[in-house]
Amino acid sequence: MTWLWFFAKIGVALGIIFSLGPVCIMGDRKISAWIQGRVGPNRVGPWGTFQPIADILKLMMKEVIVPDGVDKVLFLGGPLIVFIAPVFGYCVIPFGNQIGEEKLQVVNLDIGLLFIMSVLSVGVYGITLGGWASNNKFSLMGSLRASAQLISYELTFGLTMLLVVMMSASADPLKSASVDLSKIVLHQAEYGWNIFGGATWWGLPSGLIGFVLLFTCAMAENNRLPFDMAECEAELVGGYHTEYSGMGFAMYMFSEYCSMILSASLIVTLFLGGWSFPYLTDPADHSFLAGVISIGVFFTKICIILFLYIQLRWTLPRFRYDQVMSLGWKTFLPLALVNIGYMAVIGVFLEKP
Amino acid sequence: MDAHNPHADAHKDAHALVAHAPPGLSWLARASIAAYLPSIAAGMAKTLEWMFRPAVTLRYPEQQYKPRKGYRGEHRLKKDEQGRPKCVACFMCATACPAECITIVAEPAPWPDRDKVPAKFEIDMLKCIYCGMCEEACPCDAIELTETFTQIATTRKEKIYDKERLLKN
Amino acid sequence: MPKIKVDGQELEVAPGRKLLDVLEEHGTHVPHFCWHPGLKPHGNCRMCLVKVNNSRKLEVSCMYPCTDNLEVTTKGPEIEAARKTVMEFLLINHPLDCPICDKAGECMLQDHTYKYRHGLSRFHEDKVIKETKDLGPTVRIWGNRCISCTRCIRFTDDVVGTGELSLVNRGDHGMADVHPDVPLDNPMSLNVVDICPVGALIDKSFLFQARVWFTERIETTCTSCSRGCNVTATMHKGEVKRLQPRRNDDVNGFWMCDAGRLDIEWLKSPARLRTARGGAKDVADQLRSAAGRVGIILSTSATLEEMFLAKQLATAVNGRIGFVSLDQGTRWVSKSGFAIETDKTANRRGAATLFGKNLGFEDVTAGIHSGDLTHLVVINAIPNLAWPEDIRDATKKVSWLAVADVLESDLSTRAAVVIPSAAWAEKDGTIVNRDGRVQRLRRLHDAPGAAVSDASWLQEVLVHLGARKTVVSAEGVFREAFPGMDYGKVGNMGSALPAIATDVPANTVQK
Repeated sequence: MTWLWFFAKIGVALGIIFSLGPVCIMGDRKISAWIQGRVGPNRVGPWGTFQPIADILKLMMKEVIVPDGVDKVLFLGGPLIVFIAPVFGYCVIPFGNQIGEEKLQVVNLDIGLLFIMSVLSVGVYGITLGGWASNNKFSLMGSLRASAQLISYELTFGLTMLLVVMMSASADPLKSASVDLSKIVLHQAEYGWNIFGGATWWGLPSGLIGFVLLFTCAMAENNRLPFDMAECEAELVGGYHTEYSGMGFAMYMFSEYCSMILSASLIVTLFLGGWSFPYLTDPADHSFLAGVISIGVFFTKICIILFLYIQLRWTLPRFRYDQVMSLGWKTFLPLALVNIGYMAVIGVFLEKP
Repeated sequence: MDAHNPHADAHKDAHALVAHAPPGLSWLARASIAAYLPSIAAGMAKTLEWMFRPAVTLRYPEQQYKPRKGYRGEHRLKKDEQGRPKCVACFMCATACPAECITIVAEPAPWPDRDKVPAKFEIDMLKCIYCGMCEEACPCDAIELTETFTQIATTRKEKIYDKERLLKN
Repeated sequence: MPKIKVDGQELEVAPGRKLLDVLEEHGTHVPHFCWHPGLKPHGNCRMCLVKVNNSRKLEVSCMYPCTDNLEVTTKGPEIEAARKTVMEFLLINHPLDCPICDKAGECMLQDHTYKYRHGLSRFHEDKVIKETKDLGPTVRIWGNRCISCTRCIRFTDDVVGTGELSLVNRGDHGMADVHPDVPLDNPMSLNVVDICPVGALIDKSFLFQARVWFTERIETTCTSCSRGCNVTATMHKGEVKRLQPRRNDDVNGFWMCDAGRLDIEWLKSPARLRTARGGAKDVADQLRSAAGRVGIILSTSATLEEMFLAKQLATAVNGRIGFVSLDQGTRWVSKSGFAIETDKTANRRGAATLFGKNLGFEDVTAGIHSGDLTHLVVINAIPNLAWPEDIRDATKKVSWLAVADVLESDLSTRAAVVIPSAAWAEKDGTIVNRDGRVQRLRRLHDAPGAAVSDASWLQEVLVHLGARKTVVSAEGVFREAFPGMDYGKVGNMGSALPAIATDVPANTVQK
């Protein structure tokens, strides 16, 4: 029975990530079309819904070109690393409430947050190695940018997560801070979402700023426009995937959406109350129906965040590289530090446990 | 400081860029993402608004595009009332053509009312830039650009239109 | 010597010369139609009006003699007004058919209209319609376009002396025309096309061939007879479309004959040799083995460079050189003294300079018939040459025959090695006319198929034989042959024949 549950949960987690992937690709194209007053893909299948399948089929049938002078192992391994990383990350995301004794989370790690952080940063290895192995100056430049960007925004990313940990500590029943993701969600379900300051009214500004910071940093780490410095066509041809074709390119493209989904799940988990929704879910109700509803809530929230991601992409122009760097180091990092300082100081003085 | 040092000027420019921020607050203005957020929100509102506007796309094969008057498409060689090509092979179009896509070979006319007719009149549609200069240069009103804009061919040779093809247009 | 003043500048001129003549020579351009430097002045077009100090009205400069203390003004509002009036008058009956007129682009009337036009015509009546017809086998007239300048009529009267053309009808109906049953068919008839200031007289061979502004003009020399008229070739899309005489007072004046002018058709003939059989290597191998038994027959149309190389070859393989040439018809001299020679080869004088006066092939054929010579190389540049029976027999008798020719012949079908030769329009070189003047041939277009210039394949043979180090350009060979000379010194108008290199630098082949 435990194993069955285990595989069922893996199924749901992979299901979310792999079904949302193509939907995201499709959504990206459709939403961009609507924003630009176009129709978008509408030829393949009803209303063009089979477009992502056609895309993947096309990419699969294309020749995988391995240029002269590339490091073959790294060149072919790069896309795999990028592809696997977000899938790993997904095993600690709590995508629903408990059903019976089973938490709806593939693995309930005590250090879930740390695990996510490390896995998210693995993805950039794939990009860096792939770009470096391509034996192409543009690719290398793209890879370097990706790594530089990751390092710059990882700091703010981490500090913002720390903020969430502190928030979950502020009114934790066990009176101790937790990096366990399911506990963070449970805390939000009981005391209020972290975006609104968690359990306290004075946490509101901190929560809002933290949400914006995390959202932006996630975007930057995923190399999504307006932060897609690593592949900006205007300067670097195709960036790190210039030399990739066929499935290699497809994996890079798909993994971008996968890590987007992972980031969205993380944002939902950390700031938007995870699977919880007032009056709709009850943390204490461990019935099957309540579990399914919680999964639905979680799924819906992810979709909203993904939509925001996509809409932002088609709203904002690309930053310049120096702007990206100065935003990361000169604005976000100090802001995140101040934010944490505020949370810590106020927390100590006003809400002394 | 050397006034001609370009780097010195560049430095000044960099200062000028942030000069519009209130004095003393410039570092704050730069440091605050709050300055970005309203603009971003306004942009998001605009794109959201556009999402609900009807698409302006013309669904081409089903819906046909009707070119406006004066559209410059494929060429046509005109015929007179007796069905003969009006062209007198004067080469004015070939002379005016900036793309040098018109090839004419002249021959004596079989009719008494003119000296010269084209034995060969070819336009390389792939070289043509559809500027309409030939139409303007023609003293006999013998060539004109039609509104035909769909041009499909599978070989380059097919895109070299000869006299018969141009008379048919 | 009378002294005259042109626009304030003093000039000293020979007495009795006409004013326009002097002005043109001096570089002061006065527009004109009927005046031509090679014809007697007639003064009918009234375009060359200038102001002179001893007349109250404007005078036609082409008829006005230069006298002492004459002061001439060629510019000014009065003169401009007069020119505009003349232009308006000439354009009254001239049709506006420039788009279909072959002269457009090189038409004096068109050029002057752009420069001196009145702008608007005050003539509202219908234009006079005149006929369009053939004047002879070569020239066609568009009567409408004729402005009755009588250049062509004066040409046939004074230069050729045949006088076929005359001005028919009166006033605005006047046009140049021939008398019934007297076609314009003299040997220089096509010159009337060049001197016609409008598009009335048109060369039928050039009719509708190309618009002149698309063409390229290259200065070269006619090879059709030993006179070597200076010509300008009009090139269009890699073909010679026509030849026109180029002024050279030492050779041909302003004119050339129709035969030379039309001698371009064979250049694109299907009978041109296009493919090679064997090559320079085969020739070299054969000649090396047969050294001492080699005969070379060369045409007197070959360029100086080719003759020089043939001489090197003969020295290298210890062979004998003979010449074949072509004489046709009788010498024709026009009234003005322009002559068409019977020697139809371009370079007999050059051959005489290089090989001495005795230019026959008998030495070679006799050697073949006696069995002394077993190998024969024939290098011919004369189109459609009727081979002398003696040579024909000799070619049948030799054990090995190589032919380099421009057109196919029974010799080329019989030869063991055939090298297609570049014709005169396809190679650089120099030829010497009958008066000993070196003149240049310029490469006008590509040779057909695998054809190469004789100078280049001869050099290859010599390189294979070890008698030359490298293959150089025709000018390189010319410099070798005439030390201190080059094509720049020969120039566009030719120069006197220089001294040839006394020592022909060639080694005998080492066996």
